Amino acid sequence: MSTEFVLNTTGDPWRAAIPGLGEIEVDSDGHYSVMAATCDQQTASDIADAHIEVILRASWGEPLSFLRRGYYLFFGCAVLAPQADSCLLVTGDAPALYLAKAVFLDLGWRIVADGLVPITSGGSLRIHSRETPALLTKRTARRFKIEFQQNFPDSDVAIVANHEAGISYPLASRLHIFDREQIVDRTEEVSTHDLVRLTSSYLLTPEWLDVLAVDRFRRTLELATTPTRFCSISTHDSDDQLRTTITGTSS
Amino acid sequence: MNQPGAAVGNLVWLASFPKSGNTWLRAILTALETDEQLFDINNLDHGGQPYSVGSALHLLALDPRWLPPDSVHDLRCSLMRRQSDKLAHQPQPLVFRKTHEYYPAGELGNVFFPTAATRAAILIVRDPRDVACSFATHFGVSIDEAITQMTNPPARSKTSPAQMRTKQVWSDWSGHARSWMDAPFPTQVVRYEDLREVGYPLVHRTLAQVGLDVTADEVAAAMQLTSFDTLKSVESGQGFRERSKHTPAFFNRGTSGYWTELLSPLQVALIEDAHQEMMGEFGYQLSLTDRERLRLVDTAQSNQRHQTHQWWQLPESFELTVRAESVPDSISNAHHPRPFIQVNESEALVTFTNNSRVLVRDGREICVDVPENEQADVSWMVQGWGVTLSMLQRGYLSLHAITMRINGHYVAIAGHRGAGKSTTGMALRRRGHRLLTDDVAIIHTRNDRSYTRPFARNVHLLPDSAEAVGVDYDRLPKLSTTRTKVAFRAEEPTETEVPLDLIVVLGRSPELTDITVSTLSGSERMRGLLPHVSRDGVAPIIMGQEAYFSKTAELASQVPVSRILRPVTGLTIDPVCDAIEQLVSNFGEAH
Repeated sequence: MSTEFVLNTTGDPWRAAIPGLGEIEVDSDGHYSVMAATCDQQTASDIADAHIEVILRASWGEPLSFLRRGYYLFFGCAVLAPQADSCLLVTGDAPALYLAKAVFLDLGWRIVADGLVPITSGGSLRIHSRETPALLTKRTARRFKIEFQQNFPDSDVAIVANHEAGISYPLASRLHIFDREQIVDRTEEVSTHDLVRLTSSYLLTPEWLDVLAVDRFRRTLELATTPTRFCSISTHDSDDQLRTTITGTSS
Repeated sequence: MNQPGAAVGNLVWLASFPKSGNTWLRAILTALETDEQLFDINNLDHGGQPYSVGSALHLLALDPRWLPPDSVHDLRCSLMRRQSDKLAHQPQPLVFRKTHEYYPAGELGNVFFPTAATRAAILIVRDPRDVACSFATHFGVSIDEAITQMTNPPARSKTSPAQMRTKQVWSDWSGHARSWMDAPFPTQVVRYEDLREVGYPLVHRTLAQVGLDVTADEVAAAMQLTSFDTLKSVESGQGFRERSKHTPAFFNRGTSGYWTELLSPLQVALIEDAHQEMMGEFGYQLSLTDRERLRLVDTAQSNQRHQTHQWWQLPESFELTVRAESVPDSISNAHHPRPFIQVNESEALVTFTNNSRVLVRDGREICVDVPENEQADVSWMVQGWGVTLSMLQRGYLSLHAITMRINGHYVAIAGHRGAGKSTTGMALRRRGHRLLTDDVAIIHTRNDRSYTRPFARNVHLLPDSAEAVGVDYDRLPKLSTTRTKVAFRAEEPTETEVPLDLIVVLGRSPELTDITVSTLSGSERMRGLLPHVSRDGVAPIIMGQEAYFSKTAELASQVPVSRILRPVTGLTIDPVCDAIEQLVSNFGEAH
């Protein structure tokens, strides 16, 4: 088995081989099939077979499916206010992002895409909802009394179901959230000097996708010029403080 | 430098216990690779630690949140293997990676830090006394807690799919350093203090030794850009993303030796006691003598053990119920073997000078009654008379002796009050032997062999004894307001029942100027033991004369007994300990 990732986009279907994990085929309409590597291809302490398919789907099948259909992908989440018809694209690093997601849910917003947010550009930027559930930490979910499920008993990941998929919303604006505990407030610096770099770092452009990322710079600029707000939150903030901060920067 | 063999890979691990200068070295390496104008402390390279499997997102776009915690660990192993395969035969460019983890023994070491892909490791060490101060500030814990974590580390974190991390294990400060020095690839050790003092020549030499092709001038320029004052100033202006939430600044003092301003003598003693061997290996001078250090450490650790112990706690195997309740001042139909002891068929009552009372019933129940205004340590009543009387009621002998494990053999050292049992036991403990139980050796016989049941019991010390055995009398808790003895709590014995190999009867004689050692045989043994099993005359009454004598005779026939007599005056602790060790050695050779 090869030790290098291989993505062949010259034929149909696209074929991806992920060393040690398996292979994926993606049709032009986005349908994909996963062939997990069998146990005899693994070393003894590798990931259990049952989980390989899950991770292949979440980490490879879904992204490749969207990329095949011409979407580009952004790390973060898309949230929709009650009665709103346009989305807010939220970025930030854990735990701030987990916290923000919990606050949005607490405020009655819906998370219509989490983890990977599919975006199309054709004139104006639009966000597409994904059925994949939102991920929080258990602690944060409990703090805001959000109903969740667990994918595994000992995991600290909380899963909040999302039943909506394939609906397209205009992108209204962006919100980037800093974790005040991790870094001093760089809002001003980032907003004036660093927005392109910040945007770029949240676009899904890993090494193996460079073949697809020919227009990455253009897409980065498109997103970087979207109206963007910033805020800093902390797990030590009170619930009310968090609601006020998020509401104040998201409306 | 540890040089186990030439390596061919291109990974260089920047290994260090936290707060030892790793970030500084990463800043220097980043500065070496970056144009001066573009250098940014918030974009230091080499910071992706291997326990953070989130880096997999960049490598393979995997999302570990969809895995159970165990599989996240497996994912890390899997990714490291693949990275190892890729990097194993690429000598250049070097890839530096920071880690605070220790190098695990066995195959896991090779999985986490693949030998084939590794060129070398640079182990950055810093005086653990300074590390403790910096650690406390960085992690927002007290210095005491920092010292505890550096000595008996908890698992640093749980595997967290949400945080995309596997468990990160540092080990203790010494264990961390040792593990990297024993790693199967060359490990270059640099002291933080030398990095500061010697500066760029040392950094240049260190980097050259791991194969980085840079000039001394380039290193000097990089170090100018990353001087502590510069980093501190940059951080105060624009912040530093690696700053801990517990401290306003990551770059705080950066100096060496500032522990002298911050650490108490006890804190210094705890660090030096735990890490003296590695400190010596790295050339960090100890500031305390052995005696000073042990005095502080032993006393503090005893007090810690006190705090975690409840007065009513006894081994479960004793099957005793202990409780505080009102106890009558007399019992019916009682014998009075001593004025303060009353014994009848099923009960025994002891009244102490502070009017506290212990009532023992049916060998199963200990009731303690302490006057409200008395701040007594109740545990000595429970562990002493409480256990003794209940075991006598069950038909077991109670030898007035300490019990010890000496070179693999279990020894009881018996003697009257003031014979020096506890002092001798403490002195032997200082020699590395284990003190099991002070003053109460419960004896029972099975298959022609005598056994004792160790349990944690405080050692009671007078000021002279405490001084002689090197513990701090003034810092130890008193037994009660009316007594001058203090309580020292030794380590909890792990054994529940051990065969008794040897009994040493300790005595004093005004006629002697030196110690004498003799082995008792025949009826001498019985006579030698009887005074120490009668427990103030209570044993014959509770057990019945016949059982009392037959069980003592049984003990005398099964266990060799020696006698050590010492002069009434003069320091004889060392000769007595020498003699006991010799007796044990003789016993070991004979058996």
